[in-house]
Amino acid sequence: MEAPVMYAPPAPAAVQAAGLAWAESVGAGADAAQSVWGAARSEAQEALAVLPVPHRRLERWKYTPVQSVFTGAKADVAPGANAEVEAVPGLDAYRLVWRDGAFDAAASNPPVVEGCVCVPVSRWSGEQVDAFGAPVHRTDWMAALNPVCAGDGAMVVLADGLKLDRPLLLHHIATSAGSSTFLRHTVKLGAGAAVNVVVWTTAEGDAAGFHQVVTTAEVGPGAQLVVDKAVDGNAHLHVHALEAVDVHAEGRATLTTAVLQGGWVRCEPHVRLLGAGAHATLNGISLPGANERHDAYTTIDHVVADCTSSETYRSAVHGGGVNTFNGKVFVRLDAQKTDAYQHNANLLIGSGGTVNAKPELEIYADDVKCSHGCTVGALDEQAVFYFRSRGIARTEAEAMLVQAFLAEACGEVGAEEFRTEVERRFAEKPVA
Amino acid sequence: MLHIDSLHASVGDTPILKGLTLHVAPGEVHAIMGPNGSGKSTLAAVLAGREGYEVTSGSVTFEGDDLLERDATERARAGVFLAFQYPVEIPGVSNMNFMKAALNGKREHIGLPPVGATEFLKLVQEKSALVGLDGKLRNRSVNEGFSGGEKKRNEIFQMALLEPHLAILDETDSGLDIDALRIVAEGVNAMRSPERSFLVITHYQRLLDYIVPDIVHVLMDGRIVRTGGKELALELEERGYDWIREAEQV
Repeated sequence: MEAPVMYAPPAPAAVQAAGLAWAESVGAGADAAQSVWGAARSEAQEALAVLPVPHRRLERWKYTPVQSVFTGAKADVAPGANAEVEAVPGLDAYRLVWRDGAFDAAASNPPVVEGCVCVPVSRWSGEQVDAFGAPVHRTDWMAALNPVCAGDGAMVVLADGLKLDRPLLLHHIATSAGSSTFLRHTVKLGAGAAVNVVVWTTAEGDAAGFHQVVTTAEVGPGAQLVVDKAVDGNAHLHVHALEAVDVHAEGRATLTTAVLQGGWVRCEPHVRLLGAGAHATLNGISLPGANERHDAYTTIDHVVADCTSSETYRSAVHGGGVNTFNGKVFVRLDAQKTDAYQHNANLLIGSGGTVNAKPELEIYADDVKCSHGCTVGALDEQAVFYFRSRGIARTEAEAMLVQAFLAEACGEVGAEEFRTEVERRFAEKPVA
Repeated sequence: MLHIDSLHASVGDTPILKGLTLHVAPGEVHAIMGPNGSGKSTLAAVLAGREGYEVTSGSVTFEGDDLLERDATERARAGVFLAFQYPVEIPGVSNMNFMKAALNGKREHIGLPPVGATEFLKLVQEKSALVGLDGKLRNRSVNEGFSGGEKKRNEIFQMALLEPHLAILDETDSGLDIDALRIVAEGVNAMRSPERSFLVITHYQRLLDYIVPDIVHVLMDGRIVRTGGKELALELEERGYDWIREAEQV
């Protein structure tokens, strides 16, 4: 059931060596194995040894330079200040909070609901954790780091029919100047279960280094998973946020990604549709400015017939920022009657910004409805003049137009407080 | 209030306005008529401060200040309003947020704090009643999916809310049926006052049946070639523009 794998040219020897040395320094070589990750860990360990370290000739890493990751701050620097950070003001949610990779019990408030397991893996005494979703740890070097290096993450299991009454916030706060941390969340929804997970990454103060958060999930028949993900990074922290989600018959997965800020942010949702009637919605918005690089690499894999997917990614690039969208939709040979929609729209504001856009459809079935589109353009000067003719300043007009443009891709599913906060943060971000 | 003297303006290398002179006193309604390509919409764009129009010579003073020194935003805040011939659709920005930003821009200009929510709602209700703009349209994105008539009504609603000193109506009658024309005209008439002036730009005399002008100008080849009372509009309707062209040798 593996997706077709592209030829992966080997990395130049120096890059391979630099990557492996860095991996060692962030814990890939440590023997203190989190055996809880089961098969995924040993598979990933093998993969790390044979897969090419990301480099420019790898199609999926072409636009994401990793040099700064490998030369960035190393681990083992004392944690920074223990600041209180509220991710989404006003959000009434259960929460699990980590600081620099360590679970913060005092700040957490897990649900105590019958039929629901929700604990940090570091306190998990049960069996080994199955890996859900596409086995990206077997095909991608960076993803393979996760089951090897991750010491913690959320373990969420909902029994059949259980709909969690509040969103679940999984919040990671990076504070350390040498923070290289790996989290691995696991979500399993029984038939008809439902949960809204908010995955929020905050970089406080001097946080620097590398933070990777992987969420693997299984959405049972008729179940509904909503993942609202936000990256609130800074100039020095590299954030890699990856989801691998399997959706079974009549299940729904809705993944929204908002990159609020960050010098190097790569988001990678991978969704497999495995049962008839399964549906995936992927939305993403970003507003990269000066010295910011926001990359989205998405995969939607239509494995069986009669599934639907809809994907909308938007970015507004300003002040020399870089945005990359590489969206892949696979439609397998047996996936007849697939209905897949993909759209990527980008605004270039001012000069100096870069948009890399690569919508991809790979279709092997012959009775499907697939459409994709992609636009890159400037703000509509007619619209700006219309605002100004009503007494609105140019900067305010541009900000309102950018917000309106991005909001259209923010979706309508999930916690309203999440969307409000994302919109507020984008409104505060200067666009120049 | 508005003094335009010997105004020359170009778009790119093409001169459009070639020595236009026009004086508008407070409370007056001036109609500007003229054939296609005579420079009517250019005049509106130059007054509102649209980019891409270059004033090569001449002057425009508005309430004693040099209007051309100000950018589009400042002109609007100072009290110049342009009702667009083709109002722009703005997906994702609600009419209410748009108008609140506009009103607050003006209030900031005159040293007032941002408008309160209750006061704003009251204003909106009062002004939208003037042109029969219902709540549904007010809450939609600016002009998105509006019919031609609804767009023009929205323009007049915006004008009513912003209470400009000078309103320029650029072919507001284009694309309107008789009923919409009447509603729009009634909205404009309700706003006529001894302090507020109007420049009504139109192709056709029909609008002037509803918005009765004090003075009618004929614009041809970038200049005002004839000025008269409201009867001039009727004469144009009957005889066309050719007789003026011949008489004035334009």
